[in-house]
Amino acid sequence: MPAAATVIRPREPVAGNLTMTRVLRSEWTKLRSVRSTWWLLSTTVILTVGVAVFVSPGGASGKPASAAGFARSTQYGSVLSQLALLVLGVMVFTGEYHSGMIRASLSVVPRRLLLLWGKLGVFGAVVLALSLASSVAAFVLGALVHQPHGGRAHVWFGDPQVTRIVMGAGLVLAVTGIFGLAIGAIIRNTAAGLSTIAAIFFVLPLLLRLALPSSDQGFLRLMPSNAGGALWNAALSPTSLSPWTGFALLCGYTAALVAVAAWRLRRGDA
Amino acid sequence: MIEVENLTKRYGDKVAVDGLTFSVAPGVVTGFLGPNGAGKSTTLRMIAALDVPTSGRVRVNGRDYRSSPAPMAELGLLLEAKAVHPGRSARDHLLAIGQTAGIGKARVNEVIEMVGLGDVARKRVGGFSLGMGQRVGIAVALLGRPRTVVMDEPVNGLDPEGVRWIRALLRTLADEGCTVFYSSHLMSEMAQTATNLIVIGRGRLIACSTVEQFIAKTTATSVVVRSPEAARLRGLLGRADVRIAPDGPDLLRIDGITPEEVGTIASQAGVPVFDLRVERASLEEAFMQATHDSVEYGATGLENL
Repeated sequence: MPAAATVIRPREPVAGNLTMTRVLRSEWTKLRSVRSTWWLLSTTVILTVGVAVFVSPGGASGKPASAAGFARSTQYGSVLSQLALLVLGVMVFTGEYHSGMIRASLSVVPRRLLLLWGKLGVFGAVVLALSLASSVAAFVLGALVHQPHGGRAHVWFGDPQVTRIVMGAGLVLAVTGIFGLAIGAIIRNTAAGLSTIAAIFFVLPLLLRLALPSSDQGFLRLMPSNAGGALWNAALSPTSLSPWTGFALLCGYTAALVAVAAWRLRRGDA
Repeated sequence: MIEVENLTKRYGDKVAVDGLTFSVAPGVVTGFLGPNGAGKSTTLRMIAALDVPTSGRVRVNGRDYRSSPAPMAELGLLLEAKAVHPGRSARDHLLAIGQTAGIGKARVNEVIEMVGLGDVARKRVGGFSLGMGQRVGIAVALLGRPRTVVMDEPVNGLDPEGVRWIRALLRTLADEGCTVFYSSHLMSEMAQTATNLIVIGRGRLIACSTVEQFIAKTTATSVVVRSPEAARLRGLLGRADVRIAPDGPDLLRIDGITPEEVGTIASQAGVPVFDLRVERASLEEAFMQATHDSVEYGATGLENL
């Protein structure tokens, strides 16, 4: 227990101006200093890469019929790992609302949007780097394991559409994580946020597929998960959007959610 | 310096804060008193720009807090204990908060030592006791060496030594020129620490004065006399403006009179007096007196215990 006499504060000020760079640094400290971040990020990598390595894309070794089809098969893990990134994204905000820390955070960042941009910037950069790296790793390892060709692989980045599919899967994974962050910022409660995510990404598409007559199924391609999935499609299919249209739609949804989150954060009580 | 002007906060139909106007001066400790549900926490959150007022405005050190270039230099805030991610260490928590103002590890470590958390700074806050969590919150409030410190119930969960420590801390801050504004439901605690008082009830201002003035204004001081001829003295004092409550066979408690008058009357009549003293109401009694009409959640009694 310190004596009262130790509480003599030196006179010179210690607190500087509030800046975007400083908020980014603070958000990086927050993200790296809880264990769940590292668990969920490693889960993302392990699932993305693990599925490519350990799940055979089917067919015998040798040059596959379509390089694009093979490249796509190495990215199936991201369908699973997007769940981990969605959870992590949701918890970026709901973790703070749950513990009450949001009030400590906003009390030192009274220009509230800085906090949203800070979280978005740090989380976005981390998931983008990690998603692209794990998608590339999934393809490279998948190709080396399943398509060996004298120390190299049959299918490589120069083949038609391969780069778009591999990088695309990584991009979609990253944007999906940011989608989760925006949902968490709007809903502010972990359980409710995760349920919403589950509904949007898993339950609704399934229900709609069962409920809608087959003539109306075109609507399904507008669901966020399907719109994003179009970016790493191997072949154009009538039931999905073209790759970049689909990706643009996913980005549009995410941007709209971020705008709602910004509006909600700015105007109400913390 | 905190200036609150016509501050009002409504939640639907319910008015939590109702046209509050007061100011908190630098250099003294100002206490914030009120029954549960009086609107203290809501007011403190509006001062820190966490809650948005329905109408009215707040200025911290002369400006809207949201427009401060360096918020941590202006306001240090303690709202709730353990508002920390349970999986994060106290040190990382303070570092993350401080980094928004360019505060680094050296200052974080200094504040951690100052609040007495040196041994546990690297442990996860989830395992902290209420008192330790409170110290983390106090450390956050002091981290930026702010000109104004606002704390909601800072002694909550602290042991007696911790309470003495925070008392000294608040006074030291005030002596250094800080504006210190804190709420407590422990009136005896506040009587020992605060110089000025803001009292509210049902969101309205009840009093804004020094602790001494508040007690003097809201409750009468009594004169207590012990005399073997209490009954005779009582007769001599029986004027209309003097109320006498017998307090035992030879004791009188008299309101609305000075001890000088009692002594003079007794001496002139030859009544022996063994004891003559002034009894002032405590802050607690003054508070109950001032707020009994505005208690939001009052217990009704103990009959059905």
